[in-house]
Formats: sequence, structure tokens, C-alpha cells
Amino acid sequence: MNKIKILISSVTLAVCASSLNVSAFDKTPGSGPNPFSDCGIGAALFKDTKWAAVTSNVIWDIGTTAVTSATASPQTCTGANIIAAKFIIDNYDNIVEEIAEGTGDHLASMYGVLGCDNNVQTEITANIRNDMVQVISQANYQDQSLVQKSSTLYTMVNNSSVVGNCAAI
Amino acid sequence: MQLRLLLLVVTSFLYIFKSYAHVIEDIPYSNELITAVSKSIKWQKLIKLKQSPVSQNGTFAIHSQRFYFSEISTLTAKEELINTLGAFMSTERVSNIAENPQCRFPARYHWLKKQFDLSTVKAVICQDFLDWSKLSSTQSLSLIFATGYLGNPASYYGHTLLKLNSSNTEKLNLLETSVNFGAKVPENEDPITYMLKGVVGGYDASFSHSNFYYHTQNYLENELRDLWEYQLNLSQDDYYFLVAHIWELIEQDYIYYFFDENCVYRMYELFTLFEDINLPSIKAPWVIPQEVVRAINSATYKNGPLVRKIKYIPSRQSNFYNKYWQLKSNEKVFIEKIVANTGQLSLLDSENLTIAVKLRVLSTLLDYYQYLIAVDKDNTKHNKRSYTQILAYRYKLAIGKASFVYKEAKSPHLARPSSYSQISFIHNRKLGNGMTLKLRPAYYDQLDAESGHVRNGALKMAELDLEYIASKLAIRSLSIFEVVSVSNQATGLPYDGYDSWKLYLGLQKQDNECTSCANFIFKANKGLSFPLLENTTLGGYLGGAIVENYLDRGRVYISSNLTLNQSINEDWNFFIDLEARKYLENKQVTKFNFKAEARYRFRFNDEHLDFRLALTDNETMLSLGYYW
Repeated sequence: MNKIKILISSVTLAVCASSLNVSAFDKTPGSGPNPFSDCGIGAALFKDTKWAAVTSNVIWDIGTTAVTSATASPQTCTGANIIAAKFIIDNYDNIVEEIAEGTGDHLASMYGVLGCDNNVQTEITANIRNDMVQVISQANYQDQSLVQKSSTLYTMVNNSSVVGNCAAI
Repeated sequence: MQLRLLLLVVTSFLYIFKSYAHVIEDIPYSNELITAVSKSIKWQKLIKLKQSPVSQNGTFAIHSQRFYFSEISTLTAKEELINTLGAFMSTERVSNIAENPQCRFPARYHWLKKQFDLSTVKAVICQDFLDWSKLSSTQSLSLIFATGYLGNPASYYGHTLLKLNSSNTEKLNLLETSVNFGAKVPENEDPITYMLKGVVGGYDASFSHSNFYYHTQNYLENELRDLWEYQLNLSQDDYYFLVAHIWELIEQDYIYYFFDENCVYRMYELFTLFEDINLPSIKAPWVIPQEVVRAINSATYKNGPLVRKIKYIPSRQSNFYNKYWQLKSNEKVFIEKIVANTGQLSLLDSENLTIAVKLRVLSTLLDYYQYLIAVDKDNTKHNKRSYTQILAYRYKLAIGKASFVYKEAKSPHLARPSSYSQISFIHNRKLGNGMTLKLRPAYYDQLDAESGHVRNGALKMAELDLEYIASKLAIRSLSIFEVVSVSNQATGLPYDGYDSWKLYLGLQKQDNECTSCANFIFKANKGLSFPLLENTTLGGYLGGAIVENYLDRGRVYISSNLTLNQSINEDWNFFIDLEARKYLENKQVTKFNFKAEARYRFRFNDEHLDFRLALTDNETMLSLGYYW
């Protein structure tokens, strides 16, 4: 009986492991994990300046504010996607403004970390922009948290129909 | 648990230390060679040894035991060299690659390989270091200068960072690695403790690293400070050596001294590692970021300029002003109406408006609201709501950039040096003729602000003004600090008004009819300064002061000032200050003071100088100043 249980467990684990492996390499748009929900990403702490909290003279507490838990697979919470997710949440307004304009340093940096070819960036931006028009005009957009907004943007990038041209997604 | 961990760390260290000590006997190099290398300047710089008048062996700037293979209490350059060589020669004993001496000290290894035959040492691949430094593709290194910030005394003079550039494109890659040096200040430190400990060495400091965007968000978006990037022209070998040395220094503890061994000094020190560099020395006993920027820009490296390229990265506020002041009057009217009521965005629906006009208005508004979000903390929710409405409207229009001319800003390295000395001849109607001597360590006054400073503003620390008149040598004034903050480019839109303020703490004469009469004074004024024309700023202030009792006038007065700053051309400008002051005690004396000062700046043999003529109620003063 025990042997049967062990066998079933092993088979189940093997199937789960292989499916995880598949999803990690599956480049179908929208198929990737979302680091915001899976890794507990929050915005870096850009403090108001205070007498003794001059950010220019304080060592950034990097790494402790960003990934608070890593309960999902290691692939989900490491690598380019987590860097991109952190970048999105910490530069959200700049990125969204640049999507509206079509280009910009923040947008280019985001595509850089995701490994998106230069020749598809314009198309990805156009796709994200189309989605963004809908999202930003929603009545509850303003009330969403930064994490929610960033997560939505990350999903839009991930869903872009040409995202297969981005090595890291 | 913690005790156990501590014991484990100590035991591990002692084991490793013992292992290295064991190997020392086997080092196959002559004592003469080891002695010579240990005395070399480069080795001493690598281990942060500096000559000291109080210690024959010198002193070490870093006090983290982890930075040294030798016991820190008995550290010498020679012993550290022997132990470092021993560590490199026994790398097979270290199983953890990250702890391998080659990986912990890649710069030492790189340099020592050229001094000693280390062919028997098996080279290891330090993946953590390679990943961090991106050496396989890294092209260059940049020094970043953040302009000064009057919101915090520790940031008055600016700040410097390093940026490792992994590509050579014109575009700004915000994910590049940046290196910072900063004091480790506990949260919620009170201001007095903060300043005192900063000055006397009460804080540890270290190099740290982060993505560059942490700094762009902080400086450009939060503190609204412009950045300047100076891309350096380094050979691949020197670049590797410097980056490897920075890796060694990350998180190693120094003592932080605000005035000299500060953030920018540690950056400057890094550049002295190169042999082919001609780097101007810092003349003053204090180290100001702008001076290091000047030094880097005038340095030569391998017979060419050290700085290859300069880039200006404007803050959100600078972008907003740049755009706003380029708008046509009808575009400004749209801005005013929409700011008053964002429902007025529908005005932009008019078919008579070109898309270019709409984009210019919306782009300016987006910058305006981001600027407000940074400065107007009481209305964040309202500002964010307005910002979102503007952004949503922007999304209704087509992709495209608003058309603006990007203003060429003048790099801070082109400004005059930060310190100032002045000699003056005075004629006083009551006291006769005399002389004054002024020494200002830093930084600028209302007439000599240049690039990187607040125009028409002032920032002085420890300015001493001595006078010899009526056969007496006396202190004319001694400012502990003086700050004048002026809104030069304010638009007059809500929360971007013409607010200005002044603070003074120090010794000052309460009138110029006496000598040896400088009294303690603390002054504070709040007011408005209007940029009437591009070169004309009119200011009005109300305030008061706490003073020592002079001629029984009392210890408190209130005052009002009317000021005018006028630039005639790039070299000539003048400043007028009319003050009415009423003492609140005793006879409640009322005093009127007048001061007018004109300045002409010039260069002589590449030195920066100025002439000034100042008139006050009873005095005429002619001065020659020298910047150093």
C-alpha cells in the first residue's frame, strides 16, 4: 500500500515538475507567471526627505523591500522577469507616460531587461498602449494600488502578441 | 541561535586566518621584493593605508576586519601583503567560490599578478563578480553628479555616484549598476545629533550598489535635483582594475567625516589608483563635490582628457520649467484653466487646435503634476487624481512626443571654484579708512551663484570677515550658515509660487558705526521673489531676529526687506537690499539699512576673480576677490 502511495506521489511530483518546467519555457503570450502575485513584490521605499534620512547619504536597503516572499517556483522569483517587475513598480509613472508617447528611456530600459528585439518594441508598445487606453479610463483606476497597476501593466507586456521576441519572457 | 552563529563565524575566521598564517612560511618570494611591493603607493592605496603623523605604520581607512587577511589591531602593509599572497596561494582550501580570495579581492589579485610570479595559483571564475560587473560587455564608467539640494543640509553641496555602463549607446539605461558611498545613518536620527556625528566621525560609511534607477527616482523625481553624467575614457585594463577594486570595497566600513573624508572624497580617491592619470589635487582641507567634478573634468589620462562625454539629465522640475517657459501665451492660458479645473480639459477637444499644441500642453501638465506630487504632500491625492485625468486624456491622442527645444545647460565643472577670499578697502564716514579680509570656504552668495547653484540665492558656511579699522582688528561677521532660497523660475501656478526664504546664524554687526561689536544673531525671513524679467528678480521679505542686546535696543527685532537682483550681462550684476527693522524691546528703535553691491567677474591666467563695489549707509567698499 505504502509503495503504491509512494509511486503515485512520485508520478504526481514528476508531472508537476515537468509542467513547471514547461511553463517556464512556454512563450505563449500571457502564459508566464506574474511576479507581483507570486513573489510579493512591493515598491522600493522612496522616502520623503527628512533631516536624518537623506537618501543620498543613506545606503539603500536593496533586496529587503522588493521580494518579500518567494513561495512560487525559483524561476518565477529570480531572473529577468523579477528585475522587470521591480523596475515597473519603481518607475511606473515614467513608463506609462512613455507608453503614451511611444518611446523613452524607461520604456527602452524595460525592453532591455526583457530582452525584446529593437524591431518589435514599437509593436509591443502599440499593443500595450491599446490595452492601457481601456485600463486608464476605468473609474477605479485611480483607486488601485501601485502594486495592482504595476501588475496589470506587467500582464499587458506579457500578453503582447509579439512577446515571443523577448528573450526573457 | 545568534550566539551559535557568532561562534561559527569567529571559528571560521580563525580557521581561515590560521590556514593563511600556515602558508606564509611557504611563500617563495624574497624578503626584499615583498618589502619593496609593500611600500609601493599602489599597494598602500589598495589596502587603504594612508601615512599618518601619529603612527609610524600609517593608519587604515577601513576598519572592517573582513577587508584584511591580517589581524586588524596589528595590521601593517607588509604583513597584509604576505597574508594576501598566502591566501591566493592556498585557494584550494576554500570550497566556497564566493569566499575565494581571488573573488573577494580581484583587484589585489590582478595587480599582484604583475608584481609576483603567481603562475602556480590556479585562476578561478568568480561568477558573482562577473555578473555584477557585467565585464564581458561593459564599455565604460561614468561619474554622476547630483546638484545641491536646499531641502537638507547634508545635500547642500551635491552628491556623486559612479555608474557602470554595460553598453555604449546614447540611450540612458536605467538598469545599469551604480555605486554610491554614504554614511549609515540610523532612521529617525534627530538633526542635532545627525550634524554633530556627521562632522566628528560618528557614523560608519561604505560603498553600496544598486540599479541606477533608484537614484534617478530619488534625485530627479523626489528631490528634483538635476544630474550630470561624465563618461570617462578608461582603458579596459584600468576599467577592470577599478571595478574590481570597487567590488572589494562594497560594504566595508569607513568612518564618515562630512567635511573631508566624505562621499565625494572616496570617489576622488578611487581615481588616484591609475598610473596614467594627471588628476588635479583638491586644494582646500574640505572636499566639495563640485570641486571633484572640476578636477575630473580637467584631469588628463594617457595624454588625453579623462572625460569623454558629458550628459545633462534634468529633473522633473527642470523639465517642467523648460517646457512651461517655451509655451506660447495661449498655451499657458490652457494650462491655467485646466489647473484651475481639470474638467476644462475638454477645451483641448476644439478642432481649431493642432495636435502639436495639445501635446505641448499635456506634456507640460504631466510634468507639473508630477512636480506637485513631489512637493505638495498635503494634496497628494488631489494631485494624483488630476495627473491621472491628464494622462487618460493624453492616451486618447496619438503616439508622439511633444515638441520642445531642450535647453543646453552649463555643466557645473565650468563654474568657478567653490572657495573664496576677498580683500577690501573701506571708507567709513565715522571710523575712517580701513581694510577687511574675508574667507569663505564655501559656496556662493547672492551675486556669484553659477552653474549648479541657486541663481540669486546664497549658501555660505563658516564665512569669516575680519576688519582693521580705527586701529582695531575685529570680527566683522562670522556666519555659521547663511541660506537664501529663491524661486527663480516659478510659474505662479498653484503650489509653484514665488516663495523664498532666508536663514542666518552667526555673528554680525548690528550697524557699521562701531567696531569690535559683532553680536550673535539668528535671522529668519520668508517672502516672495518675482522674476520680473529673465535677468531681473524683485524680492520682498518679512521676518525677524534674535540678537544680543546692543546699545540697549533689546534682543528681538522684526524686519522687512525689499531686494533687487539684476544681471546686466554674464559678467556684471548687482544686488540692492533695503531693510526696515524694528526692535521690540526697550525704546523700540526703528532702523533703516541700505546696501547696494555690484560685481564684475573676470579670469586672469586661468584663475577666477571678481571686483566688487559695495555701498551701505556709512560705508563704501572696494574689493578684489579670488576663487580657489
